[in-house]
Amino acid sequence: MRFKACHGNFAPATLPAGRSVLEPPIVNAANDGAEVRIGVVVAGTQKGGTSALKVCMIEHPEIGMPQEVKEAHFFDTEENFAESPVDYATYHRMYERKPGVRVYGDATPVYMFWEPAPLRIWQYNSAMKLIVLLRNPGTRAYSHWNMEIKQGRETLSFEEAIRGEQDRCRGALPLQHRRWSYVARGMYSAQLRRIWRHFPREQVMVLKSEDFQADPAPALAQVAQWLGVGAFPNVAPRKIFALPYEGPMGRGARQFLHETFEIEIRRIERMLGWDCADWLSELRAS
Amino acid sequence: MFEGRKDLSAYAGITRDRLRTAADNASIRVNCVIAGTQKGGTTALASYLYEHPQLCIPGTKEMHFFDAEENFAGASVDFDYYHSAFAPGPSARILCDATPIYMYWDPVPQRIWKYNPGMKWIFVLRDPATRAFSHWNMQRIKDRDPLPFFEALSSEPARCRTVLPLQHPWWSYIDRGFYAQQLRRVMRFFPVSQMLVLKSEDVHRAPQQALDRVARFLGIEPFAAVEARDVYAIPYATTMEARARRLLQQTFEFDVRDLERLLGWDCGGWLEA
Repeated sequence: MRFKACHGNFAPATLPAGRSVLEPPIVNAANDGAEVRIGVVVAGTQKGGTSALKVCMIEHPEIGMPQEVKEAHFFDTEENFAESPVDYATYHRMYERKPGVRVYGDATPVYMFWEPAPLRIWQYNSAMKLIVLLRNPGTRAYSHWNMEIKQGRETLSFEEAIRGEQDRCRGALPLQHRRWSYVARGMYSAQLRRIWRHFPREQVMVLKSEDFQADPAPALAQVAQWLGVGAFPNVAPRKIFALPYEGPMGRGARQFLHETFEIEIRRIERMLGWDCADWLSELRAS
Repeated sequence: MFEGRKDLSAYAGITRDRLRTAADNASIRVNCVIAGTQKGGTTALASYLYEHPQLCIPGTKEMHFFDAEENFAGASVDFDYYHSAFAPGPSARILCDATPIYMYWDPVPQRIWKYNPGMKWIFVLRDPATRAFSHWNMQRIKDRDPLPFFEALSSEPARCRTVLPLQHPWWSYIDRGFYAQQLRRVMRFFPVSQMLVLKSEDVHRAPQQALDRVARFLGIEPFAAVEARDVYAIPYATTMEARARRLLQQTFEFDVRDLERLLGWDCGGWLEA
């Protein structure tokens, strides 16, 4: 029967005998005797300080990161998932097996935005730990636009680009638009909910980018304990990927971003128990 | 052949036109979906649409075509099978599939876009807190949920993970209520001119005005005069506990405000006791 009537296949009775319905299913898709198995991903947000965190992880003797590539981009590459079963060996080949390493990591900031990525990560390793850095979505958008301008991939002004984003991004359908998704990437709540749908909250650490940049030491201590590795060797603040801006954000763009993100920021405060008054006032100021 | 619990033929006589065979349907294309929300009054809306001579809705209402994973597992999709459910008469201009899980089911907007990028989407949205309670009452009556309402809400994320990689069609009481993010996902694929969003209470209290909007949106003749009807009302076993109400208010407060901003709506009265 191909017209699914009333979803009759979801009866709790179909669960394996002896297991509580509250336990997550056991998934070991990647338990194939591979050399390495990735246990932590830094999933975003782009322009949120993921490079700084990644450098700290590279310097840590007990964390293994990809050797040659800057970002693994495994779970957001559609070709990797075009055929079944997925060939995880191409993923694992990016890593060198090293003595002393207790956890292998992948810092690819598009993962939290890329719609199929959380499910693919779950299918690979349902015990994956995910780290998410969230930055003021308005300044994130502006930083993103500045990067695209510098790389010659954007011709519109910032305000034109954010106001016309929805129509422009349909050009990449059926995929999401990687370059021009300035506002869409800042809708963190839906992205977090998608991650939480697949992973219990204990497996997801959400950090505020601004706090991490000002003083990474407390967050790094937390990350080390959570991952079960020793202390990070260097916890001094540093700015890894700072580009000079074209100029300050225009008043019209700021107003648009405040309107667009005000409710989203309040929702993030509610969902995470955070105080994001700084984000709101930064977008309100003119 | 097409199983479903809601036989809408009670609302209109079966005509010869509606019984035309699948062989006549080689070149048809579905061009309208009523995509949700579940418990939002989609059955009532579909019952009105069923009576319009320019509309063709299969008598079983819910096709569940785009949310059935097995339909999309192979290299090509058998749309002939989908089309065989439709028997449009000579006056039919709109072929409509009313399946309320479509707005919730993650892969559906993309699948529909690949099928027909000109698809028109109709949504009927209801206070997400009362929607959740109505949903739980339905599952309760169907004997599909042993938990009390508050416990079902509190354990929803963990319970729903038990059916991964899919979403949970039964126990997604809260998750189905995040309308704004579901609408945004549709808006990623379709321009807003192809979307009509109605409020459940408006369809319920003033169906004629709602149907006028539907007719304009679909470019069909106005509907004949109708009266309000309660199509799929079920008795509730209990009233909502105060702590469940508070949990839902906390959960949905900013989503309702987000929806108001997105649609230019006033949702006063939603989430209130």
